[in-house]
Amino acid sequence: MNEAEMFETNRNTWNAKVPVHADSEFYDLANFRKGKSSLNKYEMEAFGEVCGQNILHLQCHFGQDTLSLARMGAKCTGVDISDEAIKLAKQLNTELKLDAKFVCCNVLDTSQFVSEKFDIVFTSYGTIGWLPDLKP
Amino acid sequence: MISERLKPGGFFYIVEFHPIAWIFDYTVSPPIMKYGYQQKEAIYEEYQGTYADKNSKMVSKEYGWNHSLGEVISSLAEAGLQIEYLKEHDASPYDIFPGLIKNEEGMFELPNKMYPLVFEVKATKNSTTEAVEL
Repeated sequence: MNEAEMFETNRNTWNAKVPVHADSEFYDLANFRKGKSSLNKYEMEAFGEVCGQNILHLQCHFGQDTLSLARMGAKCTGVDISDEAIKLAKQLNTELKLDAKFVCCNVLDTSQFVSEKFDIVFTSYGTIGWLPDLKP
Repeated sequence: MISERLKPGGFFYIVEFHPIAWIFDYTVSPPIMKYGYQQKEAIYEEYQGTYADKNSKMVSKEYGWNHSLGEVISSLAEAGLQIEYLKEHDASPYDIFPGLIKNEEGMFELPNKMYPLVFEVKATKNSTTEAVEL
Protein backbone atom coordinates (compact mmCIF):
# COMPACT_ATOMS: atom_id res chain seq x y z
CA MET A 1 0.00 0.00 0.00
CA ASN A 2 1.41 3.40 -0.97
CA GLU A 3 1.18 6.56 1.12
CA ALA A 4 -1.73 8.00 -0.90
CA GLU A 5 -3.78 4.88 -0.12
CA MET A 6 -2.79 5.09 3.54
CA PHE A 7 -3.97 8.72 3.69
CA GLU A 8 -7.23 7.64 2.03
CA THR A 9 -7.78 4.90 4.63
CA ASN A 10 -7.14 7.44 7.40
CA ARG A 11 -9.47 9.99 5.76
CA ASN A 12 -12.27 7.40 5.64
CA THR A 13 -11.72 6.56 9.31
CA TRP A 14 -11.79 10.26 10.25
CA ASN A 15 -14.96 10.75 8.23
CA ALA A 16 -16.56 7.90 10.17
CA LYS A 17 -15.37 9.38 13.46
CA VAL A 18 -17.08 12.73 12.89
CA PRO A 19 -20.69 11.76 13.80
CA VAL A 20 -19.45 9.55 16.68
CA HIS A 21 -17.27 12.34 18.07
CA ALA A 22 -19.95 14.99 17.56
CA ASP A 23 -22.20 12.96 19.89
CA SER A 24 -19.48 12.13 22.43
CA GLU A 25 -19.02 13.45 25.95
CA PHE A 26 -15.34 13.78 25.07
CA TYR A 27 -16.07 16.58 22.58
CA ASP A 28 -19.07 17.88 24.58
CA LEU A 29 -20.59 19.82 21.69
CA ALA A 30 -23.59 20.91 23.79
CA ASN A 31 -21.47 22.96 26.17
CA PHE A 32 -19.17 24.06 23.34
CA ARG A 33 -22.21 25.53 21.58
CA LYS A 34 -23.04 27.41 24.80
CA GLY A 35 -19.63 29.02 24.80
CA LYS A 36 -17.28 26.59 26.54
CA SER A 37 -13.76 26.73 25.09
CA SER A 38 -12.19 23.46 23.96
CA LEU A 39 -8.67 24.78 24.54
CA ASN A 40 -6.47 23.50 27.36
CA LYS A 41 -4.03 25.11 29.76
CA TYR A 42 -0.87 24.40 27.71
CA GLU A 43 -1.99 25.98 24.45
CA MET A 44 -3.76 28.90 26.17
CA GLU A 45 -0.55 29.81 27.98
CA ALA A 46 1.50 29.47 24.81
CA PHE A 47 -0.79 31.67 22.71
CA GLY A 48 -1.09 34.60 25.08
CA GLU A 49 -3.45 37.26 23.73
CA VAL A 50 -4.98 36.00 20.49
CA CYS A 51 -7.46 38.79 19.74
CA GLY A 52 -6.70 40.17 16.28
CA GLN A 53 -4.10 37.48 15.51
CA ASN A 54 -4.24 35.50 12.27
CA ILE A 55 -4.11 31.83 13.19
CA LEU A 56 -3.76 28.76 10.97
CA HIS A 57 -4.93 25.59 12.72
CA LEU A 58 -3.60 22.43 11.08
CA GLN A 59 -5.47 19.09 11.33
CA CYS A 60 -8.39 20.81 13.04
CA HIS A 61 -10.93 17.89 13.00
CA PHE A 62 -14.36 19.61 13.17
CA GLY A 63 -12.92 22.88 14.30
CA GLN A 64 -13.66 23.20 18.02
CA ASP A 65 -10.25 24.67 18.84
CA THR A 66 -10.32 26.82 15.70
CA LEU A 67 -13.73 28.20 16.64
CA SER A 68 -12.73 28.62 20.30
CA LEU A 69 -9.92 30.88 19.08
CA ALA A 70 -12.31 32.70 16.73
CA ARG A 71 -14.60 33.36 19.69
CA MET A 72 -11.64 35.01 21.41
CA GLY A 73 -11.29 37.42 18.49
CA ALA A 74 -8.65 35.63 16.38
CA LYS A 75 -8.94 35.43 12.59
CA CYS A 76 -8.75 31.69 12.04
CA THR A 77 -8.35 29.20 9.24
CA GLY A 78 -8.70 25.47 9.96
CA VAL A 79 -7.37 22.69 7.71
CA ASP A 80 -8.32 19.01 7.84
CA ILE A 81 -8.15 15.98 5.51
CA SER A 82 -11.69 14.83 6.40
CA ASP A 83 -14.44 16.37 4.26
CA GLU A 84 -17.07 15.35 6.85
CA ALA A 85 -15.11 17.15 9.58
CA ILE A 86 -14.79 20.31 7.50
CA LYS A 87 -18.50 20.17 6.67
CA LEU A 88 -19.38 20.10 10.39
CA ALA A 89 -16.80 22.80 11.16
CA LYS A 90 -18.37 25.13 8.56
CA GLN A 91 -21.83 24.34 9.93
CA LEU A 92 -20.72 25.20 13.50
CA ASN A 93 -19.05 28.37 12.25
CA THR A 94 -22.32 29.52 10.66
CA GLU A 95 -24.43 28.44 13.62
CA LEU A 96 -22.19 30.28 16.09
CA LYS A 97 -21.97 33.33 13.79
CA LEU A 98 -18.17 33.25 13.70
CA ASP A 99 -15.84 34.19 10.87
CA ALA A 100 -13.43 31.24 10.72
CA LYS A 101 -12.53 29.70 7.36
CA PHE A 102 -12.17 25.96 6.81
CA VAL A 103 -10.28 24.15 4.07
CA CYS A 104 -10.35 20.44 3.30
CA CYS A 105 -6.98 19.14 2.13
CA ASN A 106 -4.04 16.98 3.10
CA VAL A 107 -2.16 19.15 5.58
CA LEU A 108 1.07 18.67 3.63
CA ASP A 109 -0.57 20.42 0.64
CA THR A 110 -1.88 23.39 2.65
CA SER A 111 0.10 25.97 0.68
CA GLN A 112 -1.71 24.89 -2.53
CA PHE A 113 -5.02 25.88 -0.92
CA VAL A 114 -4.13 28.68 1.49
CA SER A 115 -2.02 31.63 0.36
CA GLU A 116 -2.49 33.89 3.38
CA LYS A 117 0.31 34.28 5.95
CA PHE A 118 -0.30 33.90 9.66
CA ASP A 119 0.94 35.18 13.01
CA ILE A 120 0.51 31.72 14.52
CA VAL A 121 0.49 28.24 12.96
CA PHE A 122 -0.81 25.68 15.42
CA THR A 123 -1.46 21.96 15.71
CA SER A 124 -2.33 19.83 18.72
CA TYR A 125 -2.87 16.42 20.33
CA GLY A 126 -2.75 13.52 17.90
CA THR A 127 -1.64 15.18 14.68
CA ILE A 128 1.95 14.45 13.60
CA GLY A 129 1.39 10.70 13.92
CA TRP A 130 -0.69 10.93 10.72
CA LEU A 131 2.27 12.20 8.72
CA PRO A 132 4.94 9.91 7.27
CA ASP A 133 7.70 12.52 7.25
CA LEU A 134 8.11 15.87 8.99
CA LYS A 135 10.99 17.17 6.86
CA PRO A 136 10.34 20.52 5.16
CA MET B 1 4.83 24.38 4.55
CA ILE B 2 4.77 25.75 8.10
CA SER B 3 7.46 28.30 7.37
CA GLU B 4 5.75 29.26 4.08
CA ARG B 5 2.55 30.10 5.91
CA LEU B 6 4.14 32.11 8.74
CA LYS B 7 4.61 35.85 8.68
CA PRO B 8 8.12 36.97 9.62
CA GLY B 9 8.10 37.19 13.41
CA GLY B 10 5.20 34.73 13.64
CA PHE B 11 5.44 31.44 15.49
CA PHE B 12 4.60 27.77 15.17
CA TYR B 13 3.27 26.01 18.23
CA ILE B 14 2.62 22.33 18.72
CA VAL B 15 1.31 20.55 21.79
CA GLU B 16 1.27 16.82 21.18
CA PHE B 17 1.37 13.45 22.89
CA HIS B 18 4.91 12.43 23.75
CA PRO B 19 6.62 9.99 21.33
CA ILE B 20 7.56 7.70 24.23
CA ALA B 21 3.84 7.01 24.66
CA TRP B 22 3.65 5.75 21.05
CA ILE B 23 6.06 2.84 21.50
CA PHE B 24 3.25 0.91 23.15
CA ASP B 25 0.49 -1.15 21.60
CA TYR B 26 -2.66 -0.11 23.49
CA THR B 27 -4.96 -2.52 21.66
CA VAL B 28 -3.89 -5.22 24.13
CA SER B 29 -4.20 -5.11 27.92
CA PRO B 30 -1.86 -4.48 29.56
CA PRO B 31 -0.14 -2.47 26.77
CA ILE B 32 3.10 -3.93 25.48
CA MET B 33 6.17 -2.19 24.11
CA LYS B 34 5.91 -2.87 20.39
CA TYR B 35 6.83 0.03 18.13
CA GLY B 36 10.16 1.75 17.56
CA TYR B 37 10.58 5.20 19.10
CA GLN B 38 11.78 6.47 15.74
CA GLN B 39 10.77 3.72 13.35
CA LYS B 40 10.23 4.83 9.76
CA GLU B 41 7.74 2.11 8.79
CA ALA B 42 4.03 2.85 9.05
CA ILE B 43 2.09 1.34 11.94
CA TYR B 44 -1.29 -0.13 11.03
CA GLU B 45 -3.96 -0.53 13.68
CA GLU B 46 -7.54 -1.71 13.35
CA TYR B 47 -9.82 -1.62 16.37
CA GLN B 48 -13.40 -1.01 17.41
CA GLY B 49 -14.30 2.34 18.95
CA THR B 50 -12.43 5.64 19.07
CA TYR B 51 -10.55 7.55 21.76
CA ALA B 52 -13.60 9.77 22.23
CA ASP B 53 -16.09 6.92 22.49
CA LYS B 54 -14.62 3.55 23.33
CA ASN B 55 -18.05 1.89 23.19
CA SER B 56 -18.76 3.01 19.64
CA LYS B 57 -19.18 0.19 17.13
CA MET B 58 -17.25 2.02 14.45
CA VAL B 59 -14.05 0.34 13.30
CA SER B 60 -11.00 2.57 13.12
CA LYS B 61 -8.47 1.60 10.46
CA GLU B 62 -5.42 3.75 10.80
CA TYR B 63 -1.93 4.14 9.42
CA GLY B 64 0.34 6.12 11.67
CA TRP B 65 3.99 7.04 11.92
CA ASN B 66 6.17 7.55 14.99
CA HIS B 67 8.30 10.69 15.20
CA SER B 68 11.05 11.26 17.73
CA LEU B 69 11.50 14.59 19.48
CA GLY B 70 14.75 14.91 17.56
CA GLU B 71 12.92 14.64 14.23
CA VAL B 72 10.37 17.28 15.32
CA ILE B 73 13.02 19.76 16.44
CA SER B 74 15.41 19.16 13.53
CA SER B 75 12.62 19.49 10.96
CA LEU B 76 11.58 22.87 12.36
CA ALA B 77 15.20 24.02 12.52
CA GLU B 78 15.77 22.85 8.95
CA ALA B 79 12.77 24.93 7.86
CA GLY B 80 14.58 27.96 9.23
CA LEU B 81 12.58 28.36 12.43
CA GLN B 82 14.21 29.23 15.72
CA ILE B 83 13.27 26.91 18.58
CA GLU B 84 12.02 28.92 21.57
CA TYR B 85 11.39 25.93 23.81
CA LEU B 86 10.73 22.22 24.07
CA LYS B 87 8.75 21.35 27.19
CA GLU B 88 7.74 17.90 28.40
CA HIS B 89 4.87 17.32 30.80
CA ASP B 90 3.71 14.39 32.93
CA ALA B 91 0.09 15.52 32.73
CA SER B 92 -2.24 15.27 29.72
CA PRO B 93 -5.53 17.16 29.47
CA TYR B 94 -7.02 14.03 27.89
CA ASP B 95 -7.51 10.63 29.49
CA ILE B 96 -6.53 8.69 26.38
CA PHE B 97 -3.98 6.17 27.64
CA PRO B 98 -4.87 3.21 29.89
CA GLY B 99 -4.37 3.47 33.65
CA LEU B 100 -3.97 7.24 34.02
CA ILE B 101 -4.96 8.95 37.26
CA LYS B 102 -6.50 12.41 37.63
CA ASN B 103 -4.30 14.96 39.40
CA GLU B 104 -5.46 17.92 41.50
CA GLU B 105 -5.69 20.13 38.39
CA GLY B 106 -8.03 17.67 36.67
CA MET B 107 -5.28 16.51 34.25
CA PHE B 108 -4.24 12.89 33.69
CA GLU B 109 -0.90 11.32 34.61
CA LEU B 110 0.76 7.93 34.82
CA PRO B 111 0.58 6.75 38.46
CA ASN B 112 4.40 6.39 38.57
CA LYS B 113 5.19 9.36 36.24
CA MET B 114 7.75 7.19 34.49
CA TYR B 115 7.71 9.27 31.33
CA PRO B 116 6.04 12.46 30.07
CA LEU B 117 2.75 12.18 28.17
CA VAL B 118 2.79 15.56 26.43
CA PHE B 119 5.35 17.84 24.84
CA GLU B 120 5.18 21.40 23.54
CA VAL B 121 7.40 23.18 21.04
CA LYS B 122 7.32 26.83 20.13
CA ALA B 123 9.40 27.95 17.16
CA THR B 124 9.62 31.43 15.69
CA LYS B 125 10.16 32.60 12.15
CA ASN B 126 12.92 35.15 12.25
CA SER B 127 11.73 38.48 10.89
CA THR B 128 14.81 38.74 8.65
CA THR B 129 14.68 35.29 7.01
CA GLU B 130 11.78 35.97 4.66
CA ALA B 131 13.98 35.44 1.58
CA VAL B 132 15.12 31.93 2.50
CA GLU B 133 11.76 30.20 2.73
CA LEU B 134 12.06 26.45 2.62
